[in-house]
Amino acid sequence: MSAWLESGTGPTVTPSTIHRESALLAEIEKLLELQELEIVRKESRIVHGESPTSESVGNKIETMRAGINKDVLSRYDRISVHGPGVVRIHKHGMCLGCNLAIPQGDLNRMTTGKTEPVCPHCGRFLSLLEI
Amino acid sequence: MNLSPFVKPERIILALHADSQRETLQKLIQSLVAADIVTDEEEFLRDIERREAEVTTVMENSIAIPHARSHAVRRLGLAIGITGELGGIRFNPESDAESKLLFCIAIPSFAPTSHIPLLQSIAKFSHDPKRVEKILKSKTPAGAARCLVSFKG
Repeated sequence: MSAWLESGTGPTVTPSTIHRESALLAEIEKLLELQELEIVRKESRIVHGESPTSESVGNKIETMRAGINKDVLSRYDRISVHGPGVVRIHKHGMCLGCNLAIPQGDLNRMTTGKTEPVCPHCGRFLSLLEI
Repeated sequence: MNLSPFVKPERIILALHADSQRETLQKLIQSLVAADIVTDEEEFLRDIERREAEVTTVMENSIAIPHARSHAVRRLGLAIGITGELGGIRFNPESDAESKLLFCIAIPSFAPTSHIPLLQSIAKFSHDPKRVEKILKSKTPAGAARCLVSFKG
């Protein structure tokens, strides 16, 4: 796995780092869609059981997973075992996964692409659309 | 799961009558707005219609469980509509199936999977024809609420 995904400490910020983190922001939006589809499939299985509908949602999920970076996806899968793997940020800068406030400095670095958008408390991917 | 925290007589609509999916949802959502569970009726309606278009929640046994995650929802909530003797509602425009019992679940976007146990309970309840028949014959919202609360699924 890439060092920038694994590392908990802030790496040296270079133009290439900013490019990588911005690419991660785009992947996170895809993860949000994937997460929604996975919930829809779960709901569909509860309501309809194993049906062609659930199967068609399953196919959509597979197509979507194929278009996401493998490192990001495996990290998302690990986090998703314990609840949502991607969460939005509350407008007051709170992670909606663990309900803890994210330091403003971290948020600034995330929005400018200098650091990866991950909650420093619970490790969930953060969608920065609310900011 | 114990349904009593979610089933409230004031959020049960008896003799629900509507000509379209939108009208049905509007009536159900109004009770959620009154309980301060939903903050923006239009936004939640849009979200629930979008979810319904993705995969329908109409079951084969005259039951529908429309639900959606939305920013317009403050906490997990449930509204119930029973058509009674007025006949069913054609809730899914693409199907001829009529729904007589509707469970509308409001899910806050910050807790996207919080409704799963509730959904499982309702689905289990829906697979028991005797209980469904009993709730469809309820004369008062309190009677319908009792019928649901007594179910320990």
